[in-house]
Amino acid sequence: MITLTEIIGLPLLGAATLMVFKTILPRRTAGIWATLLIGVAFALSVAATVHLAALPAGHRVVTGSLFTWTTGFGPSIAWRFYLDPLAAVWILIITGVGFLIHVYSNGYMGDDPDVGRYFAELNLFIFSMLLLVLAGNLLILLIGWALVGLSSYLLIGFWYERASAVRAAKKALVVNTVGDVGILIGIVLLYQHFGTLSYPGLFSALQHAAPGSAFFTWVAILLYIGAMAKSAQFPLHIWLADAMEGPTPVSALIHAATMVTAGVYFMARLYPLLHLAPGVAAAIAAIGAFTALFAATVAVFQRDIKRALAYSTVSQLGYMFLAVGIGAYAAGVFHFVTHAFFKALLFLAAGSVIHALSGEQDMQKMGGLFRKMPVTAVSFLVATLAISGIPGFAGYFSKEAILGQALLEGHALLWAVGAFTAGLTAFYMFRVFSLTFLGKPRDEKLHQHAHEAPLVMTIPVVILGALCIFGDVLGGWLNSWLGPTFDTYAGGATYAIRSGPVWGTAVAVLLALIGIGAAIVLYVRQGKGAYAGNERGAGVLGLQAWGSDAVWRWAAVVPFQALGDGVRRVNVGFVRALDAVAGEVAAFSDDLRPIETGQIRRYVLAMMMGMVVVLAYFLVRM
Amino acid sequence: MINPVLEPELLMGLGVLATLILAMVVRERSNAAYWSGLVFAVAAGVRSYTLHPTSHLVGGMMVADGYGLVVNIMVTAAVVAGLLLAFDSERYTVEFPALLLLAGLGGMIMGLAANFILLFLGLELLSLPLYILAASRRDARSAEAGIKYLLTGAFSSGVLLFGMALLYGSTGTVTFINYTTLHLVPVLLGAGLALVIVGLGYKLAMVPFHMWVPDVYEGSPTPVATFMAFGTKVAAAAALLRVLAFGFSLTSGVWGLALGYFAVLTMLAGNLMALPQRDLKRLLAWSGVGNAGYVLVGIASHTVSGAQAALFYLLPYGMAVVLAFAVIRVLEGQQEGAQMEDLTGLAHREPWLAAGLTVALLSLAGIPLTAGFFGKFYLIKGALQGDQWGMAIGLVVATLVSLGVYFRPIQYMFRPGEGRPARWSVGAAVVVAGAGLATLFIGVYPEPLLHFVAQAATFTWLR
Repeated sequence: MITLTEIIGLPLLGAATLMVFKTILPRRTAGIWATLLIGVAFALSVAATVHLAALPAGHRVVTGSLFTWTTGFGPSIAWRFYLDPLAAVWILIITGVGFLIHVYSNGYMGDDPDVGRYFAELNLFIFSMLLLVLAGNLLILLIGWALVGLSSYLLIGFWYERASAVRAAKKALVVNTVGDVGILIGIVLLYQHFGTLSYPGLFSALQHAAPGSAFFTWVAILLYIGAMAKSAQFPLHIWLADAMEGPTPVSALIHAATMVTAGVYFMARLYPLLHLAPGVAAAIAAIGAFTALFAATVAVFQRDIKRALAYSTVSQLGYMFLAVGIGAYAAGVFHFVTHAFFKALLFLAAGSVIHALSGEQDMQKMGGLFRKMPVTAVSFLVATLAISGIPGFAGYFSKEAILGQALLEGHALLWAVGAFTAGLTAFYMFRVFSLTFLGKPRDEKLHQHAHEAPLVMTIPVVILGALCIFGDVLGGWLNSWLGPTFDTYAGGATYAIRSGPVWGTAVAVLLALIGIGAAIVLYVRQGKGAYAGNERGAGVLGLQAWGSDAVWRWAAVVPFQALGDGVRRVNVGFVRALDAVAGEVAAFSDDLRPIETGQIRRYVLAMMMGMVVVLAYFLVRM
Repeated sequence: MINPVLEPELLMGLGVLATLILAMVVRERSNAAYWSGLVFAVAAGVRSYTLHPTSHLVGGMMVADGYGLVVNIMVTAAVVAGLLLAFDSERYTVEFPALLLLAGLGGMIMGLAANFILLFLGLELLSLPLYILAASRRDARSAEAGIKYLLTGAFSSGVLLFGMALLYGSTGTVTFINYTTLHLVPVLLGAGLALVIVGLGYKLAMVPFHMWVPDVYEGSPTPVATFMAFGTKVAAAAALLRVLAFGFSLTSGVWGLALGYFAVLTMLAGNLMALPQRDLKRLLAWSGVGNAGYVLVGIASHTVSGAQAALFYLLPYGMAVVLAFAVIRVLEGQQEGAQMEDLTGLAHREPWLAAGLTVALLSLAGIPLTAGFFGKFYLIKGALQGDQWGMAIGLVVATLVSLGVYFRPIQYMFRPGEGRPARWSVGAAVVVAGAGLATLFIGVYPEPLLHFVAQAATFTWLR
C-alpha cells in the first residue's frame, strides 16, 4: 500500500514542482528531474509487482485506503488504491514505456522554450493514468479518468499558438467528456443499486445477479460508451487523428501506448459485469472488429505519417476490444503490451524523422532516408514487421492469440474480419515504411539536411525495438499471471490464451505477406508517392476517414448548435430578469447607505433601540 | 504551582511581558519585540493543541475543555496574522506587539470562561488594547476609529455588566453551570439574559449593534483590523455560544427565536450593505457583519450540529478574511486602505496576489473546493436539523446577495488597466500563502479538522 502511494505520488510531485519552479529552473534540469521521477516510479512498480508475485495466488491483491475523503454526503468516500495482476501489467507499461518516452523527450523537446510546462504536463498525465489504473473504487477511477482527459487536452494543445492544435485539443476534450458522462451515469446507477463502488464489494454483489437483465445491459452500455470515447472506438474515433497536433512523444505516450488503452483496462476490469450483459459483450467484439477494419482502410489513404500511425492505433485498439468482447482477456492484455512496444517505437521513430526533416510530417516530402538514419530505419522496420504480424515478432503472437481464440469460440466472421485487417495492416504499414525510408528522396533540400537523431533519442527507440522482438515471451507469463484476477469472479472462464487451428494462422500470415508484397511493388518498384490514390474519388473520402467528421457535424454539431441557440435566447431572458432583480437589490442597498451616518449618537441610538426591542421581546415572552 | 491547563494563557502572558520589556530595552526600530511576540503566540497555540482537554472547573471560574482550546488556537492564529502583517513596518509603534498579545490573551480567556466575572474580565482585556491600537496611527481617521470604538464599546460593556448584575440578582450566582438547571425564567432573569445578548452581540457585530464596525475597520491600521475581524469575532461568538448553548440550554425556547430573527436580520443587512461599498476594508467590515449572522444561525438552531457548525464556520471565515486583509496590506503600501479601483489589472500584474484574493472571496461566497463551502454546508445542515427552515432560507438568500459583493472585486482584478502597485513583505507573503493553502485544504479535505472541531463543540445538554 505504501509503495502504491509513492508510485502515484512521485509523478504528481514532479508535476507540482515543475509547474511552480519552471521559470527558475535551468533548461535541462526540468527534463532530467521529470525523467528521474518516472524512473523511480518504474523501479517501485517493479518492486510492487515482485511483491505481488510473492503472495499466494489466491490473495494477489494489495489494497489500502489512504484516507476517508469526506463524510456528511451519504456514505463516506475513501481514497482507496488497489493493485492486482491486471493493474500490475498496466503500471509496468505506463511507467516503463513512459520512462523511455520521457528520456526521448529530453532530446525531442529540449529546445522548446516552454520545456518546463511540457514535462510538468507529461508527469501530470502519468499521475492521472496511474490513479486510473490503481484506483480501488469506481469513483477514484473516474477522477483518474477525467484527469487523463484533462492532461491529454493540455498536451494536445501544448503549442497553443497554433489554431489547429487548439481545435484538436477541444475536439478531444469534448469527445472524451461524452464518455465521462456515460461512466458517471453508469456509476450512479451501480451505486443506487448496490450501495458500494469498491471493486471487491461491487463484484461480489454481481456474483449473485442473474445475467441478461435490462439493468445490467444499460449499465454496461453506459460504461462502454466511456471506454469507447477514451479508446477511440467507432463512432467516437474522430478525435484521435486530430490529436496528432501535439508533440510527437505525446502521441507516442498518450495516443498510442497508454491513454487509449484505458478503455481496454476498464472493460477487462469490469469482466463480471460484461458476464451479466452478454449482448453488450458481443456488441463490443463486433464494434471492435468493425473499428479495426474501418481504421485500417482509412490508414491506407493517409498522407501525414502521424495520421497514418494514428489510424493504425485505432485499428489495433479494435483488435483489443474484439478480444475483450469475446472473453479472451489475456490475449487482449497481451496485445496491449506488445502494441505499447511497437506503437511507441513507431511514433518515436516517426518523431526522429520529423525532427530530422525540421518538422515535416507529409510523407510526400520524405523517402530514401534509410541511409541517412540507419538506426531509426531498422528500428522502424522491426516495429513494422511486428505490427504486420510476421512470425517471430511480438505482434504476431498477440494478434494470433486474439484471432485464434475468436475461431475457437466460434466467431468465424470476427476472425475473417480480423485476418483481412491483418493483411491491410501489413499493406499500409509497409506503405508508410517504403514512402519514408525507401525509394528516392522526393524533396532533395530536406533530404540533404536530414541526420540521425542524437543518442538520447535513439537509445529508447532501440530498447523498444528489442522489446518488439523478445516481447513474445510475455504471452505465456501473462497466461498464468492474470489467473488470480480472472478466476475470482464468474465471467473470466475463457480468459486464458489458447492457440487456434494452424490453418487460421497460415491464412493470416499469407494475407500479411500479400499486403507487404503489394506495398513493395506499388511504392518501391513503381515509385508511387504519398498522394497516389487519394487525390480524387473514393480516395479523398478515405483520406477524410470516409467522411466521419462530416457525419458527426450533421448528426451532432449542427443540432446541438441549434439547441444552444434556442437555449441562449431563454438564457438571455432569464439573465435579464435576474439582472432586474439584482438591480433592485443594488438600488435598495444604495438606499440603505444613509443609515451609516458616521455619527456616534446615531450609532448608540440604534443600539438603544435594538436593546429596547430585545427587552420588550423577552418581557412579552415570559 | 500553576495548573497545567492554563499553560497557553501563561505563555501568552509571558509573551506580553517579554514584548513590553523588549520594547523598553531595545532601540526603537528593532524587530525584537515582534519576534518574541510571534514566538510566544505560536507557542501558546501549539500548547493549546497538545494540551489534553479536561472538563473540570478551575477555581470555579474557567474550564479548559476542547472547546476553549479550539478558541485558543483560533485567537492565537489571529494574533500571529496581525503580527506578521505589521512586521517590518516603521509605521507601527513598538508597543504594537505587546498590545496585540494582550488583546489575544483577553480573547483566550473569553473562550475558557465558565463564569460571568471572568467573561467580563476577558472581554475588557480584549477591548482595552484594541481601543488603543485602533487609534495608533497618527491621523484623523485612526483617531476617529479609536474614539468611536471606545464610546460604543463602553456603552455595550455597561449594558453587559448590567445584564450580569440582573442575572446575579435573580439567581445569586454567576457561574454558568448553575444556570443549567433552570427551567422557569423569572422576569429579572429574562431581562438580564437579554442585556447579555446585546452586550456580546455588540462584539460579534450583530445588527443593530454593528454600527461601529465599518468605521472602525476602515480607520484602524490594517493588521489591527485583521485581528478584530478574526480574533474578536471568535472570542465573542465563542462566549455567546457557551453562555447560551451551555448555560441556558434548557430555556432555549426563550432566546432561540429571538436570536434566529437577529441572525436573519444580520445576514441580510450585512450583505446588502456590503453591496455598494467601494472601500475594500469597509466591504470586508460589512461582510464581517453578514458572517456574524451566519455564525448566529448555528447558535440559534440550538442543536449539536448547529453548535459544531458555528464553531467550525469561524475557521473558514477567519482564514478567508485574514487572507483578504493580507492582500489589502500588500496593496496599500504607505497610505492605509485600498479602493476597488486599486485592484484593476491585478490578475496580470500580481497573479499570486490576485489568486490569493480570489480564493478568499470565493471562500467567503461559499464556492465548493474552498473552506467556506463546507462552513455554510454544515450551518444549513444544523439549521435544518433544528427544524429552522426560516434561517436556512435566510442563509441561502443572504449568500445569493453576497455573490454580488464578492465577485465585484474579482471582476476588477481581471479588468485591463493600471491599479496600485503591490508592495510585498515577507510577513504578508507568509500570511497569504498560509491562509490561502489552509482555505483550499479545508475545502478539499475538511474531514480531520471537522472531526477535531466537532468533538470540541459537543455540549452534553444539547440534543
